[in-house]
Amino acid sequence: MEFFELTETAKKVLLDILGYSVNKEGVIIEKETGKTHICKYTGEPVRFLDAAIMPGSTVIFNASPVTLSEYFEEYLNEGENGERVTTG
Amino acid sequence: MENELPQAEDIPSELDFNQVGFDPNKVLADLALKVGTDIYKKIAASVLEVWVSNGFKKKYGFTPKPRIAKQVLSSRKDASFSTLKICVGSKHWALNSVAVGLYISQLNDSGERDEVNMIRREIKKNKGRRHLNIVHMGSTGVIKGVINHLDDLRLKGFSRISLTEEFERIIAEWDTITIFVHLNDIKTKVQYKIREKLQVRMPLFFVFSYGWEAANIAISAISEIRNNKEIEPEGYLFEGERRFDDVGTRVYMWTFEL
Repeated sequence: MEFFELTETAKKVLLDILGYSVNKEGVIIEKETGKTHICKYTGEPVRFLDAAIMPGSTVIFNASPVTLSEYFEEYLNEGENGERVTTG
Repeated sequence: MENELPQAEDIPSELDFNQVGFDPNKVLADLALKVGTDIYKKIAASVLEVWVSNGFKKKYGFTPKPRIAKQVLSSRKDASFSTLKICVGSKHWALNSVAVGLYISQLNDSGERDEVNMIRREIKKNKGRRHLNIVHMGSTGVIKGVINHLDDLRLKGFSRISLTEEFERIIAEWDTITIFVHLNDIKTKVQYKIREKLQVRMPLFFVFSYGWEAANIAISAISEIRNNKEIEPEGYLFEGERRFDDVGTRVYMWTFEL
């Protein structure tokens, strides 16, 4: 997998294509509803500057080593078909 | 018209994501000039379709710090991480924290302490103490000893359920199964801690030291205990591992396994 850092313009276009925009606080919002987009891994609003945009179903989250690792765990797991134990 | 599916001829050749030298910044910057036009809407629909349907075949990702993403991904390719997945399955709740721990061990080795502390704070805040323990196991290298232990059990025929139970027991007892030797520790105190575990026949525990002074204390303490024949003759397998991190600090870990 190859990773790119997008320029501000490129990132805004990609977000627009995916149905998002950025509000004046620098937080990503859903274009249709105006709702703040919440990071699925941290539960916090996704900040434009920190946002990772990853393939799969649209995955936009606050990038950090922890959240990136969670993303890889979830989307790139190509191991066997065990059931996820949910007590963690 | 806007809702019609885009036709192949509507899509510029630069949008072939598989082409050599694909430059997303150029493609998207060019697209920015077309915002609001019909062609933009059509291209946007095409990009969205490709993105959601096959996700660039998992080929590309966009993140503010590509180097970190690459390193995090590479830590998941560690051989011991693969072994752990064989032991406890690829969906175990602790795997992600183990991977983060392995990533932190790379950072530790290259002396990037600020980033290590930042990650630990994030884990503590968002995941809690148990995950922080796992990360700590990964970052100190102890997790590799734990994985070796689980793999030994697997080769002895233990089921995945049993291996998972053992793994979770180790996580829960992390504080008690690891002895960290600090540079201001005294040898007899370290020996007392080791003997305490040997006497209750703890099935697995570790001694860990970071830095030359702490290692000297640990080596001296363990040597005496070994010379007194208190380890192997009591049924323990004993293994020591030494490495240097990128800033030249000695990192020692000893595994005691029944």
